[in-house]
Amino acid sequence: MRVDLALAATFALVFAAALIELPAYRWQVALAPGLAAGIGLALAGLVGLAAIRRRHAAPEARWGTDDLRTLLWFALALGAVLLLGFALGGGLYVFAHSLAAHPRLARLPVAALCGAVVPLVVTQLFGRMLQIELYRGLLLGG
Amino acid sequence: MPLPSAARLIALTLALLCALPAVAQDSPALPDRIDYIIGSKPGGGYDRYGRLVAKHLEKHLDGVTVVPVNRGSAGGVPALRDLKEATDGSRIMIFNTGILMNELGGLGLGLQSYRWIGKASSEARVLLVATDTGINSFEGLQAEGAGLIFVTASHGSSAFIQTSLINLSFGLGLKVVPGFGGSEAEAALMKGEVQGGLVSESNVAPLVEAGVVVPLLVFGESSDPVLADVPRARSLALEGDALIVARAISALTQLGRITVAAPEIDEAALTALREAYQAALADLELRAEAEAQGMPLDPLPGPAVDKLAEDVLADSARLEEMIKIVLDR
Amino acid sequence: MLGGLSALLADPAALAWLFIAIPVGMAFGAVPGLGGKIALIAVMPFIAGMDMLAGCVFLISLHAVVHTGAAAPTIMLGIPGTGPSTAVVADGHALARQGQGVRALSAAAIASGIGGLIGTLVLALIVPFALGLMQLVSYPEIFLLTLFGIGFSAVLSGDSMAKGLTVGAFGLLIAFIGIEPVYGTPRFTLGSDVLGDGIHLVTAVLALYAIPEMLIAGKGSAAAGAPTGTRRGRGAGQLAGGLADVVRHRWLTLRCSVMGALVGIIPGLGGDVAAWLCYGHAAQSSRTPERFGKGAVEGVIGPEAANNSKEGGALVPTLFLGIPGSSGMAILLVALVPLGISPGPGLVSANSELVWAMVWALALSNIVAAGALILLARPLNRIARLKSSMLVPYIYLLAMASVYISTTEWRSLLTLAVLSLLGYALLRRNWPRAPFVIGLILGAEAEEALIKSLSLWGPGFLFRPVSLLLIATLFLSLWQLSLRLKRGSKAAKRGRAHAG
Repeated sequence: MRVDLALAATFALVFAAALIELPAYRWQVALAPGLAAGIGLALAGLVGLAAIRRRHAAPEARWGTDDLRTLLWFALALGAVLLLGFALGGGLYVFAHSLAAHPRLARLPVAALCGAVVPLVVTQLFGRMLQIELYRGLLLGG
Repeated sequence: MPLPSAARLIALTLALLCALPAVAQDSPALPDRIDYIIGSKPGGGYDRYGRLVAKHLEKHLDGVTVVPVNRGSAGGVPALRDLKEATDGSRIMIFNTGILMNELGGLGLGLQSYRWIGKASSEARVLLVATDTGINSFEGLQAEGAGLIFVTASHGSSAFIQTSLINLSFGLGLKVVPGFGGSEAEAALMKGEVQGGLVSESNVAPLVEAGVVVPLLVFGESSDPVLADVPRARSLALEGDALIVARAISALTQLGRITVAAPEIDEAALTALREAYQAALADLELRAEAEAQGMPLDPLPGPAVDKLAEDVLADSARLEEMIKIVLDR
Repeated sequence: MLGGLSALLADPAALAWLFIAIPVGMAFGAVPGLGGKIALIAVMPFIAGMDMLAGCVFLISLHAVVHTGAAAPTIMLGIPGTGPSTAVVADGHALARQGQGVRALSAAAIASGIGGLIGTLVLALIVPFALGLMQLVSYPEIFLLTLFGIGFSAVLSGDSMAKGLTVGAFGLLIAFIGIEPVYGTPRFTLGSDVLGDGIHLVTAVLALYAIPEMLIAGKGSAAAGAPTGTRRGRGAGQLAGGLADVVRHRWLTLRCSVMGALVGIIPGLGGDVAAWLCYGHAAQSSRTPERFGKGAVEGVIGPEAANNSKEGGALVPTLFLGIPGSSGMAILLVALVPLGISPGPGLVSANSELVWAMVWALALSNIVAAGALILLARPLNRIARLKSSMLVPYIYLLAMASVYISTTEWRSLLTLAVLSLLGYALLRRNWPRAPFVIGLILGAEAEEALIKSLSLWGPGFLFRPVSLLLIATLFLSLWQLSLRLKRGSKAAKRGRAHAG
């Protein structure tokens, strides 16, 4: 139940922090968030107490390296797009993911093809047809 | 069999993309897309003017797409602040005139340094009251208006500041409630939930014809027949705070629907925008559409607006003081 | 009334535009991040100079079928096509992952079609009473309606109501992040201008649904990755299954269609609210609310019916009072004016035939769009059946692209990452996620309605006649609900006793 407890504690912390900020506002601005955070804090407390009482974690609920790996892949996608943009970063990410994660695609030409689709879609479909410019990445000048 | 169908999908996408037409490029001084920020919610007067101008501006800017974008939160002030970054002219904005007054109240935007592209109209402001209050003159409102609910757009909008200033300087004792943006104020008046407001002249006629409201006082000039017999603020014998407020509001009515660009905008881009704006406002199609929608026009080019805005933003210690009071800063 | 139909059928140009509008509108719905408003803005340059009838029919049909098209990415990929389709993600995508994507799509298409028809019917019937109805419903009633929605989130919480309500309150609080719209006070923004714009609904829903599902899908060993669950029934069987689902839940479809249309009439309440209210209603009226979020077909039918019926309702104030009910309708209003239409109380008497032609066009386009989606269901299902390890990177990118398109701000991707981590933890620990989204959607509406009610009427706003009626209904349904939950938990205890 450690994750449950951590979730409840996180929520409680956010609610409490919100309540502390409220007295500075006029009533029209403070009323609704005050109600939400007040009720939320009480509920998060209840949930946290219940989590402390039931201490035995079910075995399938434990977090392991699997979780870490899948989160890292997502972080890599985010990092690639933020640094190199949707076209280049996205393409490289799909290329890397195809090589690493899929035995049937773990051949350079196939993986390269999978990756090459991304910049094409970004520049042609979004850029040209829909006139929507997607993010170009921090390194390539926003 | 996922792989072959995926390959087919990819091939199809490639074929499709190769067949796409190219887009023409022109107007070197400007980016190929300009966001025309509208500093109000959809549906109100600023929205209607903004969309009309955006549409015709595009016609007079070769190869540039002009996209209207509503950013009405907090009266458009955050959007106006963000506008400073658009030094390439990729964003321009039509904003609530109230921000000019807000600036006097200590907003700190540095509005004096912004570059004006032009203004579309002069619009008189009309103080009106619900028919079912039984009040039918401004004197009546002064005598028995205390406690009536007048609604306005958001807290920093021109309607809010001006209504509150009138309330303060004439000692009316009204309850001014902000937050009724777009067409909400008109809807609330129609439904009889509120007792009055300060409304742009183009929105008054339908309300008067529906028998919902009585116009009491006009700030600025108007040739609307509905307002022919309604007293003008400048014709009242006023003194003190009331005189300062009536003058300021009447002056502001001339600065209707202003479009503005970033303070440090590229000069070539500014010139291109100003020329296109002037051409768009002179466009017969735009004029016909504005007339059909009951939107009065009284355009002025950028440099002339510079002068007017300077006058409005000039020092007036007492006015600034009163604005600070009504904004509760 | 029939004059409108014959006018529509006698004008081949108008009919042709109707059939052009349907694929265009559906495509704008199907690309996440676009949607009805952008569709209207994109076609505006083309409608200037069009014939009045053809132009109106084109705009109405275009805007009406967006949600039908949005069902495709929502169900197949778990990426909501438009704001209102966020309500369909939970159960629609769960069904697709169980190999029942075609069934879910077919149920969505049929429910959308029926919803659209009923919305049209409501539009036709209600015209004479529209003003009166709008006068009855004001801020206090809107506030109570939003309370309904938040109350429903308790039902969606499965086994732990406290967890559900906590997550719901968190969603509400997240809704208040940003610059407060009336007073301009920055709330909980930590001084950042990205948070000043608030947290976008699309960002939140992607972070809580699409990304965590993909994280789980990418978690298994690299080679595994076939769709989870067994594939039940062949395509054709599933198409019929979707029809059977709607027939079985015909009263739910009907109720949600009517609710959607009524919410549409109230200015200020958008499609998101209609869809989520109906999702909540579907769960609340279900005998087995615990299946919601895990692939309950009612969770697809309810919101899909409401999405489309709401369009008919929203036209009432827009056309007949000139008061747009939503920002999409405001743009429609602006687009109609150049065609020579002046919306307002005089419209029906001046242009009765045109109005009825628009009503018929609305009905016809909904039927055609539903048919098109059914035809497309099986080809679309191939995407959902691709190995998920191949799909995962594309979905990450698509999700990030829709966040970027909706907010045009790269830092929103960081918000997406933080909320995704939360979504993943909630999913792994089996906490309910729907209440978060309901709180986020209803937060702004609830606050605005509460503050305006208090400003205009004081605390006495709760004693308006319609308010009293709504409060009574709220308490009655909560009471009924608690009874049902008590019965449910007793049954579960009995089951455990048997097993032990």
